[in-house]
Amino acid sequence: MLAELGLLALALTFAAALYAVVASVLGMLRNLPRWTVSGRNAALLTTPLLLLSLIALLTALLGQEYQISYVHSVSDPQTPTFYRITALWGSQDGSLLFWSFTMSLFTAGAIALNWRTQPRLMPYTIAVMMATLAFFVGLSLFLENPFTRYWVQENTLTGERTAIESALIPPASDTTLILAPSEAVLARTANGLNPLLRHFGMIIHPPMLYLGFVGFIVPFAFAMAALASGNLSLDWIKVTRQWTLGAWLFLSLGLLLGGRWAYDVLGWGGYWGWDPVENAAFLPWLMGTALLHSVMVQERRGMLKVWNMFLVIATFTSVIFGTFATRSGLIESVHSFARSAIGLPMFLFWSSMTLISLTLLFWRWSRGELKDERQNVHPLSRETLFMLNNAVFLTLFVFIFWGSFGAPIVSELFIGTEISLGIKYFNQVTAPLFAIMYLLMGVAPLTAWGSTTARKLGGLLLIPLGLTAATGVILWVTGVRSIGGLFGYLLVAFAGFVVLDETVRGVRARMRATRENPLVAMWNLFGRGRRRYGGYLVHVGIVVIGIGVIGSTLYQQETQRTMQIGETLDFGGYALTFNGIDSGQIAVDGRILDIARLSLARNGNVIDELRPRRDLFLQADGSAMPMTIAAAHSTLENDFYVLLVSWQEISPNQATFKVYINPLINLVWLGGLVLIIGTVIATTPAPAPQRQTASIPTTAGVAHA
Amino acid sequence: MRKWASIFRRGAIYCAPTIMILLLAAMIVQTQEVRVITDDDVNAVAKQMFCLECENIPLDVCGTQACIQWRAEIRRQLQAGSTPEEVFEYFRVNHGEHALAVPRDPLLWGLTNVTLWVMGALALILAIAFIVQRSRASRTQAVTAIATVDLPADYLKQLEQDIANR
Repeated sequence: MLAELGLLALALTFAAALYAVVASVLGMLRNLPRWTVSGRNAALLTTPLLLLSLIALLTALLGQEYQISYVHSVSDPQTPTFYRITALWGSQDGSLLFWSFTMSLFTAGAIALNWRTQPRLMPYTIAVMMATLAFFVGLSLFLENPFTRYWVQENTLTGERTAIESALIPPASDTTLILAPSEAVLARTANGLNPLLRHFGMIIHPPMLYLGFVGFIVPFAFAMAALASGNLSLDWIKVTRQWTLGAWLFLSLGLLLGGRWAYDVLGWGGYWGWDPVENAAFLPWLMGTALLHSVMVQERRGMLKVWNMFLVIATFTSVIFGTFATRSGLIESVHSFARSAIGLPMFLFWSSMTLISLTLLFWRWSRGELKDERQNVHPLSRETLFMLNNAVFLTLFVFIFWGSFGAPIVSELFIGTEISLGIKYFNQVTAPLFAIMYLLMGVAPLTAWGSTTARKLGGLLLIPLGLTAATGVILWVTGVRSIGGLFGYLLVAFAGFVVLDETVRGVRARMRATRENPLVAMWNLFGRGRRRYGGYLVHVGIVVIGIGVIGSTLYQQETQRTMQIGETLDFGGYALTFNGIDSGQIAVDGRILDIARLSLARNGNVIDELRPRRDLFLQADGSAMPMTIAAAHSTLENDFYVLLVSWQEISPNQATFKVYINPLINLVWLGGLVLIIGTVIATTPAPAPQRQTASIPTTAGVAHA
Repeated sequence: MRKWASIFRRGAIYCAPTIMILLLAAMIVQTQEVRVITDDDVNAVAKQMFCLECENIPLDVCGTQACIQWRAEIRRQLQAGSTPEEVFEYFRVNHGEHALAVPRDPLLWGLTNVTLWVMGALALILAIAFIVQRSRASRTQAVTAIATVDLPADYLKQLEQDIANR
């Protein structure tokens, strides 16, 4: 019953989305308002339909309906309720359905907020969003159906039974009977959720990432609507600014949570491995960040119109490309994507969407409709620095894309050799670009729109540069001698001091003007200039993350040691004593746990008891999947991070541990938090300007105008 | 004299091999002392390689049986006196470029690195060229604006009078 309900809702969503596309476009082209309203209503209908479908799948997961093959593949009778819920996005079919649902939510939000204010753009916007939704729902319906069920086909002549998967009840014949499989057998053979996904971060990491990915459809759809309708004023930018910031916020949060999950679960002592899957999520973030800066140039100076359109297209197509690359098998091998059920359709959708949107852009450009209002640019102006910032983000995008997908694909296709590029490669090629990014981040807020004199800029740079020099001396005295480390810290600190100086100057100016105390002045400064000071707070977040990344990358220490019970390892000023192992512990979900007991001491005092462990997940086919769960002593100074590498193979009295000291790593998470708060401040609309209390005399002419 | 010479020769015949054996033993002991390979030595090499079974998992942290064997092979080779470069080459020849975190084949190295920097340089040149071109346009427009500005006649008259009065 649940499967039928979910499937019916999914089929109706597909029909409603297609109808919305046709009705919206027809309504606009033939000037038939009833059709555009009908298209809007169909688009709004997709949200409750997809919610119904999602609830059906969730109920099946909670109710252990193992006949549904998705439920069978991501849960088993031992799976706790908490993970039954997260299993909703634990595999391809469910996550595609969830992706479609979030897309329909964004569509409903865009309609609710913009239908009345943007009558010319909305029908086209709805058409673009619904065409995309129809594609993804089509994938769920025809290729990756989460409501496919197991059936037993029995040959009445031979008695032979075969299991088959089908969304609908397969037709029986004279010689075959269709039976429902035994529930007991299904429960016994169920796989359970992938052990890697059994983590608290997995409740929120995928939804955040999907909201970030899918959220970029709103600016993309509005940009396409502007190109299609010819309404190329600032409307689409004003409407989409907050949507872009919102999507960027969710994507940032998704990336941060993904990093935290990798740090806790993957057991390699780091949070960012430049893995193609991570990079696929990072690429839209880079394009989105470039877009958030360059739209300001269009708003303030009427420039970069074509470039902004290109960036909107690039951001959303990189979302679709990332989805295609990670879900199609392209990352494993160029040839495996064609073998994946959704590989070819996704490739066709991505390439046709990119081609159509770029053609539309080129068409408007060639007609001279995207001509900048200003052709001139002063070399020392904010717009110039924003253009350089965009060049840096684009270069980062190209470098990371090339390392993750370009070079491996070209190598496999044309040279016949599979290659993978590791952390060292990415660190080498991206570090100089990140350095330029921090430099621009420092200088740009001090420049004015239009032009700035070198003398004025020099004057504004004086305090931040002085503070940076003082930081350099302190770092040198405290023992930081590596040129790379010193250079990196100082660049990042410079960007931070600029923001600090700007804020202090703003607060002082407000204190002089309004006689407020510093805290009130700062509160009001942030309240009135949310966009500006929210942006500054985002910069502070990026600065804090930068310090954390430099510390934990350049100054990470690691060692691996086999220890006897009672033995102590002296490492990095700490003493780690191995006290024993509690092996063969059985968890409620059936995992077998081997937990090591270690004491961590510093300066002769025990400061923590650490419990790194290995979890063994028994699979339905009898195999076991091990997972290494780290234990860490966390302070703002560093993380003392311990992994239990092995123990049984050697002897019950000794074990091998891998130990990392990750300096300043917690600043990465702290900086992420600041970044999120800053983005929220920048996204919230500023209060409406207060009305003039003095009465303005009106002339008869104005009054009757 | 001959007797002493004979004793010396015999002594040399017996002692030389003994000394050589002792020297050889000392060398072996010394070699064994030098070639103590720690887990950290193995991991330093394995860090620059990938597990072939799990996509994009560095070899030093992968827990599969295949990777444990690979790390054992790295240890064996390092103990036998191979340099990390020789170990990389061994794995490249036997398992392909895919095993390494950075390709060693000159063509592939060029593809991944040189192409990249050419693209980066091009992006930078294009960005600077764009800004310079816009900046020149700005100056030309400013000069043109001054040259063609159409001021009111009475204003011009007042201006010339002011200059004359100076």
